[in-house]
Amino acid sequence: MDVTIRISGAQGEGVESAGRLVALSLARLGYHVFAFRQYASIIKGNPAMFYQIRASDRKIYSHGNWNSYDVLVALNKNALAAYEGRAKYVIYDAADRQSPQRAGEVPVPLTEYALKAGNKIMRNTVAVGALMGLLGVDLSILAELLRREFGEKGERIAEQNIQAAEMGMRHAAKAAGSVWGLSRAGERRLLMSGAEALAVGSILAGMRFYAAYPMTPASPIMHFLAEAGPKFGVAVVQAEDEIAAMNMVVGASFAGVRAATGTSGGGFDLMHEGFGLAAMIETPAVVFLSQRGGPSTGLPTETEQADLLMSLAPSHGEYPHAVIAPYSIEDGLYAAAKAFNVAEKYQMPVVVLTDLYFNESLATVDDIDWGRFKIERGQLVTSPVVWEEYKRYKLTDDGVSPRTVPGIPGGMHVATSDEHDERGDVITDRHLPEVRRAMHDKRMRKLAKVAEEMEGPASFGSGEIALVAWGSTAMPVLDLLSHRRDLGAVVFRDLYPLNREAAAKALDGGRALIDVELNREGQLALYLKRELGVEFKRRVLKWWGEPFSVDELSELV
Amino acid sequence: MASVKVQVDRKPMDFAAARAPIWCPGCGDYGILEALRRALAEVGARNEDVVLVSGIGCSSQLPHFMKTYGVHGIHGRILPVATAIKISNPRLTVIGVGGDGDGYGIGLNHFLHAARRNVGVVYIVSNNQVYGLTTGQMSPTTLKGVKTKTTPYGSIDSPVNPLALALSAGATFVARGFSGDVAHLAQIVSEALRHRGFALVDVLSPCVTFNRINTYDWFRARVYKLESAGHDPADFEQAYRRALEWPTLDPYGKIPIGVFYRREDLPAYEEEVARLLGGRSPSEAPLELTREQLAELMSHFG
Ligand SMILES: Cc1ncc(C[n+]2csc(CCOP(=O)(O)OP(=O)(O)O)c2C)c(N)n1
Ligand code: SF4
Ligand SMILES: [Mg+2]
Repeated sequence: MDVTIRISGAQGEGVESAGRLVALSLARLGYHVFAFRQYASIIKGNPAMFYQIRASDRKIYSHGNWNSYDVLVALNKNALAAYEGRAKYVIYDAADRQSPQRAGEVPVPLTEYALKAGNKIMRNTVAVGALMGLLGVDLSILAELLRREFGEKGERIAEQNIQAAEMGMRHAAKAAGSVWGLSRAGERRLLMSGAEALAVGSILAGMRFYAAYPMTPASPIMHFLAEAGPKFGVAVVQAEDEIAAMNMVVGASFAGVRAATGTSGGGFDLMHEGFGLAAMIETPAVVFLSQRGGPSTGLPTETEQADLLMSLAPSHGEYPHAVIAPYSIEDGLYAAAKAFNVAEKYQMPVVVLTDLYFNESLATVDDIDWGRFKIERGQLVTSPVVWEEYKRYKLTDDGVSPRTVPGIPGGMHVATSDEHDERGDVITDRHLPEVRRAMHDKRMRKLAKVAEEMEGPASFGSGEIALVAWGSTAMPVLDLLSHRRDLGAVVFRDLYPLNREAAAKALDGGRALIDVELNREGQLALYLKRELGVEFKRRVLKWWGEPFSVDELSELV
Repeated sequence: MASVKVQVDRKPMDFAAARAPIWCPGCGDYGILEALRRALAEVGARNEDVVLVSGIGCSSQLPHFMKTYGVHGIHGRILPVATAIKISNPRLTVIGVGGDGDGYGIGLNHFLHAARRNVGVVYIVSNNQVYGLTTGQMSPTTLKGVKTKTTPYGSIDSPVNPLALALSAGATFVARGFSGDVAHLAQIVSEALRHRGFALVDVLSPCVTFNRINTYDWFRARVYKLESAGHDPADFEQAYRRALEWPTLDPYGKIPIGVFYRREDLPAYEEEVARLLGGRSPSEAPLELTREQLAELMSHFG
């Protein structure tokens, strides 16, 4: 079983809540679900935004196909005109078309039923009910979700919505029958967005401070943390700008609290100086860099992967840091947790690199491996030290020095953005090339150790042709592999510092390599060529604001 | 409020680092350093519980001469760093110290936001009306008409009025001191350290190398103490009028020093954060979740 549904309508017409409702219902029934939303940077209007929901009885990673799906739910005429030729079944408002033109059309009096239930705005609920009728899903699941959504205070509204859904469901079942007859596929599955996975991973990693300035597609991380965080001791500060957010992360972290910020490209541009500060004063920091189309304001609500090269060298000067790009929504949980450990053990800033497609899509997650959230604090000093002897930036073999935090007697030192000596004293009032050299070397030495902790790329399939991808592009690539046995895939997640040996091994083996990325220049290919001299046979690139789909990739490779 | 631990019999030199200051002889920043040490001794602070946060500039070197924790961060970003430290661990005494360029120029945005949040940070600004470290350019507090390296024909920019800005942004403690009167300045800083919420201490602090106009003598001829002038720091309107006296109304007239305004009845930002977190600060929240908490966290996703 593998069903794909596209719900389309004007922005503000309820596509969003309908999509969530459908995705949640199917996850509750035990299906693997993936849901992707395409929308525009406008609050109301945009005639045909859509939510595409895919459900399957086996593991899936992406929203599936662009050009053919099973059901279209068109909430208005524009949506009907834009997408109808691609779906086997079309649910639309009977008021929008006099009589059906093709087989599979299921006109439902959406507006009429909504009004009957109490309010026109419930058209989307009628449509969801009709869709559930086609799928053969029981009303009780919907009813439960609607009651939860509107809460006790909204009891009446919930009941009206349930009535609206029921009318839609009866109508569709009568007109077309229960086509799919879906029954329970297993235990209820957890459904979360990529942004939520990052937030949950962070809470599990012990993050207790988050500061950010709103920016799509990073904002949902802050939204979730603001709501759920306080119960777990997470302070959330909406900073005055991204410069403040980054510097707040440094401050909280200096005080011994695990801290992070999140933003998109433009906000990260503003953070660069503070990012370098974290590296210079060897203070842990995690940045969730959620890409969207650039440059400048770019495509605020559309996806892209064009900040890879920037993430490799954001701030000025040479300094150590790490970049991790989760390749599935579930992996977002683990990537976040790893970022905090790497940041704290090596006392450096870490970028968790995702994009809009990742952050905003919803996916069911499999059994979570709780063992992967072990908190490692590295060289954190928790008992008094002797001030006269303590060297915060002691030169060590691996470059990591014991770190005290305020409150620890004897551990007083100044964390200095200027070049400094082992005690943290500023040296820039003199010319001390030996000290500069030793301190710079010390910081850079950490990279070798971090590289040992970086996982090599994951290899999938064994075809003669290997698709090489990173981050969220791996999601449609992995789905493609399940019906293209001629293909394999190499997926990069821990991008920097590179585990060179493992990377070289995964890319070797005589297979033809195809670079698949959501940018115009093929940034991963450029990076791998620079680092390992890897040659790609072809590049499959896309830079117009939408993720790859499985059917599209299948054609392209 | 989180209780700050105190220790009696503290002496100013208990806060001195091994390293001697590196400012030009006569620099106003020596006065700030001495006043700060005296004030910390006066309030009985413990070295390990004090964090000094500075930016970039001559004045921002100050933490290096103190035996306390410190972050000598980047130019203009003192207050975001300080804010986060205070939220994370309200038991710490968090003091920001930097220049007029750092705080009223590149960092002005943060200044207004720290004031409106009322975060419990004492912010001492060494206001020498010039960019010292970068060798004498105009600063946001340079008076109109003054010649500097970047204003060779006299500045055409009107100066900012930091005290009036702080008051209008909602600061709950607003004061001005003078490096040439260390005892008075130390008194102001002690009061700022005891204040609940954000405290601005703007300090007239001559740069003897690059500012030949606003010298010690220039200030001595002009300053007067608010407390001797019958000023009531509880009266906001009076405070605002006094704040406008210099430099807004008369850039070359009398200059009030002392505490312009204070109120102690509003919660500090870190208290508000702790309230949201159920009465604890982020540094007090356990890193690992209990079983029940884990179940609660995951309940968002069904
Ligand atoms: C982002 C950035 N821009 C510019 C500078 C150069 N810079 C260093 S200190 C300074 C101004 C110092 O003036 P002020 O803050 O008044 O401190 P003072 O030296 O007068 O105490 C400038 C512009 C910098 N370090 N960083
Ligand atoms: S240049 Fe001016 S501000 Fe800087 S140390 Fe010398 S006197 Fe002080
Ligand atoms: Mg200055």
